[in-house]
Amino acid sequence: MTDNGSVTTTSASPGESGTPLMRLSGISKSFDGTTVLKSMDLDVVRGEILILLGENGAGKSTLKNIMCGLLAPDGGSIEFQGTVQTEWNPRKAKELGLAAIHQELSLFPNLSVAENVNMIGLGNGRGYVETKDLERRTNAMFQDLLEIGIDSSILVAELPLATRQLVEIVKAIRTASSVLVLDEPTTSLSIQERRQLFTAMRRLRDNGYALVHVTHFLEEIEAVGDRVAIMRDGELVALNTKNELTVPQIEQLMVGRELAAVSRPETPPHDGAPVVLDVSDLGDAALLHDINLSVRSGEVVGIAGLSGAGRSELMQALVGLRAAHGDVKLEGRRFNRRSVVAGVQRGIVLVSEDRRTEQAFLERTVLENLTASMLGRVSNKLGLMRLGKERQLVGELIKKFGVRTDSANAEFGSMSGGNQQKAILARWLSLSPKVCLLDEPTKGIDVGAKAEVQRTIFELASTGVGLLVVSSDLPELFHVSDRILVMKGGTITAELHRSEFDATTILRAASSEKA
Amino acid sequence: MQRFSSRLSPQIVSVLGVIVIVIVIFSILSPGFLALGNVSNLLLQASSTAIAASGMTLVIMAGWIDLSIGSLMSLAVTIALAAAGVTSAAYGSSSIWTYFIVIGVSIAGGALNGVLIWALKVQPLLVTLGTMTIFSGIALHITSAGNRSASGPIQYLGRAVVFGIPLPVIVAVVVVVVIAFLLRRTPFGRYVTAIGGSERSARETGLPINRLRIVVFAISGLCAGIAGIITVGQVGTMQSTFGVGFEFTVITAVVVGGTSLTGGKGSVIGSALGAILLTLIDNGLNRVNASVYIYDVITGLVLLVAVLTDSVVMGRIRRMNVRIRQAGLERSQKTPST
Repeated sequence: MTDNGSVTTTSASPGESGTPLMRLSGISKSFDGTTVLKSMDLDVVRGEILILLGENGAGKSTLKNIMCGLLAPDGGSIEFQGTVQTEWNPRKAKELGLAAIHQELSLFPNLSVAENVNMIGLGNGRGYVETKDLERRTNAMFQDLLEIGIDSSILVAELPLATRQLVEIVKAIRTASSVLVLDEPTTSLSIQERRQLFTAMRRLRDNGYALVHVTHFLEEIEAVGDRVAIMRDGELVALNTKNELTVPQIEQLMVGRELAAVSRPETPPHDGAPVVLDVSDLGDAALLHDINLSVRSGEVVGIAGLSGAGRSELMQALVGLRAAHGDVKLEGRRFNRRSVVAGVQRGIVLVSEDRRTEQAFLERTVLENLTASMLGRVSNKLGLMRLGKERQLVGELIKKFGVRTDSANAEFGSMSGGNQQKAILARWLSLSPKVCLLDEPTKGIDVGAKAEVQRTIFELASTGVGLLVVSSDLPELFHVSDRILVMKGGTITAELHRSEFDATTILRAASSEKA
Repeated sequence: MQRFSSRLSPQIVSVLGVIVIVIVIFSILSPGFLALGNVSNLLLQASSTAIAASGMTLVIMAGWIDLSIGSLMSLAVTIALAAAGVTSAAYGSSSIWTYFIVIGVSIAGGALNGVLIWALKVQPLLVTLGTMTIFSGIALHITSAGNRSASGPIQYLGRAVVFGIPLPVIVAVVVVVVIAFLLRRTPFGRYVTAIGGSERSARETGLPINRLRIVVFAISGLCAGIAGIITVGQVGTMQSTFGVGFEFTVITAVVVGGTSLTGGKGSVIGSALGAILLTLIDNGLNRVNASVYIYDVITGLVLLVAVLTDSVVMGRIRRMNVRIRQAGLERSQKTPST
């Protein structure tokens, strides 16, 4: 697979289940002159799970939106069961049995789980809604599809993110009768929930559905994939059955270049370095308790743990986003009246897990987003903005962090997910922090961007910044950390030095009852 | 996990609380405030606002706004009276057809709002601001800003009494119940609520937003039309200022009744109570001979208090949710996941 420009096509699985259900031919799309899709051809086949891979910005989301009728293509045609669809919109797609799970959940927070799942066809043929009946049927649906017990009378707004994702999944499966498109459905799910989802997906496939699974996790190819389609720069660069490609080949196809493994700089002796962050007896009312840790200048400390162990909560407590008691010292000085504003002044920043919804202004420009936390640096003494300086600084940041955008004036939300994340990272890191808290810094971003983020971590460490990195990706933690702290039930249960890194030890320390 | 028994109760309870307080205050200041005659009068006064507020609740629940209802009600009555041959405050009389024309024009005007929002892809606020001016402009052009007699059959709906209950009150109860049922118990109502929760999700889910919007604005127009017939029937003449500012009274009633201006949360019953509360204040201040200008001050204060109570109640619920979520977290920790 050295000539990665050519498209390798394999005949679909034999039998009558192999007829293309949906055929995209020559689909092209551009936004404001930027071409996102160049003449894409893709067949979606009954009884098959197609894995769609690609870097952030490869055009996966655009393709998905075109498939669902949310975007009209500039050129090309969409065939459904052999008929060319002249008017393709979400309603038409729905009528033909296509349903999608969107990355940004299409749920109604003010309605109950039952109402969300059954939004289409609420009356069940009658003119009114039988709430109790609806809830009973929805509970059964969760049990049948995912083997999960749920009280579907709860409002979606009251559910944690992972459960919301499950609701989105059930909602889509309920309306699907032919094609199901899943856009990164697993990002906030636990391992067990993922397994349940995969079982449900396989069952749908065996019932003759066509599934398109957009993901970043290469291991999911092995878990549920039948065929793999790889996109790069708006084109299909490979279409293979699952065992034809190795992981390195896939990575290479996605990135289009040999992935230079980010090598970790020689670990400097940290023991003499000054402690930049010192936490003692930190706790809060609900979850965190007895947390003691310290981070030295130039040190990268990883935090492992299962979801719900309190990792994100610890990060939030450290910058004052969450009320907590206990002592926090920054460079030896107390930091007990914690707030984000005070934190920025003292040199501690948090890049949170849900960067896009918590820290971005999606409708504003890239430029405004980048400088939102440092307007003081780009304005003069009278408080007036120095627009030239702002523009120059943003230009530097975009270049330095490799943010791919049409221009600094583009709408933030128009960039691909990975680039949005890089931009938010750029915003915080440009404040020259002394202590940097990164919560799942590479979650939901592709291999190329991941490597860049890891390189950024090393660069920061080499300039003397102390980093605390939460990640659910153990290989990544092993790669970037000097030390790993394991959290369980709101406190730290284990500390491992580089020589002791071991997945089993960490899992044991992180899981509750199991030894 | 215990769910809050009903989604509308905290708002309704707080409006009812304020109503009780207001009644107590005015009963002390003005004996006879609660006399049967005055209560009947109160409900009569509140009926047209409650009717229009029911329609407006649908609009606001979906996250939209309709500023045109006051002008639309004026336009519909103006056209209907003109069609009946009324040419001045002293000449001409309505006919039974006047009802149909008012209803027809108000539904058409409301639907036009929906169509324009869809066709122009402009926010409801701006579109209805435009049609508000256009509707009242046409009405003033037809009447040359003069008054019109509203004698004859048009007065029946506003003045009739059935079994001792004023007919407008009965009409208002019917409208409120029907629209409350529409909103709570029909797919249409859930769609409207869903759009108010997230219009993006509604689009991605494939809800027919444009069609729903036309229907919702048409209902809002219809309700304004009915309110117009009742009001003009009670007064007996249509003045050139008929309907001016009515939309703000109605929106205030809806918001005081606990419906969120961002949509997705609220109730028709609450809006009706809001209308009653505003009328209580109006009527009470009138009875204690307060200055006319103080009315607006008090109404404004009530609006602020209602919004404040709402945010306090909501804040408490939010904190409760945080506790529930944390309880959920602790529970999920106990289930081993590897």
